[in-house]
Amino acid sequence: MGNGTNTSAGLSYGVENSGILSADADAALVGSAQQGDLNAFETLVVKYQKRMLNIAFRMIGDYDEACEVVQDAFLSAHKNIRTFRGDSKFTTWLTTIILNLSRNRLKQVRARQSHEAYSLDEPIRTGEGEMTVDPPSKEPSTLDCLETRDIRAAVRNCIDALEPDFREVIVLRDLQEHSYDEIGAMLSVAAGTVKSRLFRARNAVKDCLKKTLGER
Amino acid sequence: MDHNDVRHKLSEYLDGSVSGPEKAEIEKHLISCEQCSAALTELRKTIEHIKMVEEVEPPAWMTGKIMATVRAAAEEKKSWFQRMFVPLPLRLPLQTVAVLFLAIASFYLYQTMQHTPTYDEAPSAQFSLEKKDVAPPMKSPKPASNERVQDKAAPEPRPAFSGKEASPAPRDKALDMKAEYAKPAPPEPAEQRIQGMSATVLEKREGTATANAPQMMQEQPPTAAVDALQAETARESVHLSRKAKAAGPAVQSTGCLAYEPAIVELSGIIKSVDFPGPPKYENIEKGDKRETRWILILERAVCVSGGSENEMNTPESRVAEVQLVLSSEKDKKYRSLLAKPVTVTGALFHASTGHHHRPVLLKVDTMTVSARQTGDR
Repeated sequence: MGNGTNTSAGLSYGVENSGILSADADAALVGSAQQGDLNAFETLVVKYQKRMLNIAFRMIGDYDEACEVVQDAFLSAHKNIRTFRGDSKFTTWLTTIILNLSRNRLKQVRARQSHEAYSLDEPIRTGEGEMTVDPPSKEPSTLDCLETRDIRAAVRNCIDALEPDFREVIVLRDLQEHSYDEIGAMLSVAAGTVKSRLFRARNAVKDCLKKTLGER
Repeated sequence: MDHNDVRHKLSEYLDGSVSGPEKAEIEKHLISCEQCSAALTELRKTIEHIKMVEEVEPPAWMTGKIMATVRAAAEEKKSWFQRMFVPLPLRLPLQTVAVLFLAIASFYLYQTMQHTPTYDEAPSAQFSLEKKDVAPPMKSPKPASNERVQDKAAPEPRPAFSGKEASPAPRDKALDMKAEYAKPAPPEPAEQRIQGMSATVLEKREGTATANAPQMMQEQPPTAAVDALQAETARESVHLSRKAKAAGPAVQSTGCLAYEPAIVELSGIIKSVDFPGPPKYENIEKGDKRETRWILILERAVCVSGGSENEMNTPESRVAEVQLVLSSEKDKKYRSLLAKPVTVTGALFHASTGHHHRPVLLKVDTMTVSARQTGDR
């Protein structure tokens, strides 16, 4: 069986070649950061904060919470930078930190939400799923724009509705375009498990979108 | 590859993660199976939809806030580290004092560890010198001024070994301080000084240990021999315990040991000591006969109550050394236990002749290597 790095067929992900160069540059920056060079570490922050924020945001579903998780993750990374031996890529290591913190934060957020009063902006859970309260925008929009926005909102809701284990693989594979092996390393599971989870997660999103958008 | 297998592989197929043969098989199936073909289309569309999800941008303040937190953490760590190094004008005297303190403390610690009285270093002949000042004099035995621990390797006895000439060396003062510091708490105050072990005693024992080292090496019996001796002694102990029960309690109500016929048990180290014998019992060098006797240096000083059956057995306090009386057979049998920690059983009696060189003597029944010695092996 092939692995996730073989992307010549099907979907093409352009991160592989640039990833090698990036990994070398990262190694140099990490080496400097390990010697106490804060500027080197800042370069890493600037380079990866957006990617980490998007992972955290898709995992938690709350922008402010995701921002806090990213800050905590970089602080943790700096504190433990000396323990990073370069066995894996820096991004893999950093993503592992982000995922762990996101899982913990998600639990806290869910626990908090279960104790909070009903909010008009929260998704409305029904017997068949959940509906999002989407107030009309004040900006003028075209029909196309409306359709795209609807699809995005539906996809977001469908991803949010997934269990964290399935949400992780969707975020890491389809949004962050990591290989199966990288995802396996980040989640500490075998590549076969990653494939299996991804298959089930994609089918769940497909079924969810069918229900929400109908046949388009 | 059947229908279900193909459906399960579609996700991997779209990622290009299936092998060549699998890919060919899937594509062959897709041509003939409309359901799977439709499923593939749906899945592809789903992935495209997922990829449509827009990315969020980090807030402008994020980098600054992260780095501010990181810098604060680094500074905190650094300042903690810097607290270890105060400014130079204050640092030098502090460091000097610290180094001096450590040097002095290390010296005393080294001295203490080197000369801490252990089970193996029980009070020796010097005890008899101290005893002259505080205990009643022996009736019959001659003064022990010419006593000499048997030391074939040493050319001549060290001054500290002989009674009156002994004077504490400078180091001994430190050892006295140590002895006072580490004073044990025996039941009777009178025994405390004995257990504290004077510096001169240590000096003597140190010299003995060094000079006797080759001799002691020769005297070390093979392990099997000692074990055999232990086993034999254990058999004897069974017989003697019956005898001891018949003889009465070994420890009186006063807490002191009893004289014969009670069987007592004492622990300590045996030393072979040369004493001046007949005719004058004063000085071997001046012609007195050499009498080699075994002295048990007790692990802990004891007192002995007066014997009701024999008026010669008068009470003795602060008994730190006991002369052992053995038959020639036992002398040979137990010779291998010289200079070892031993436990001796037998009956005590008081000195009454010039051949008795300690106030209290013990007629030896059994002698065993102490548990500590055997445990160390």
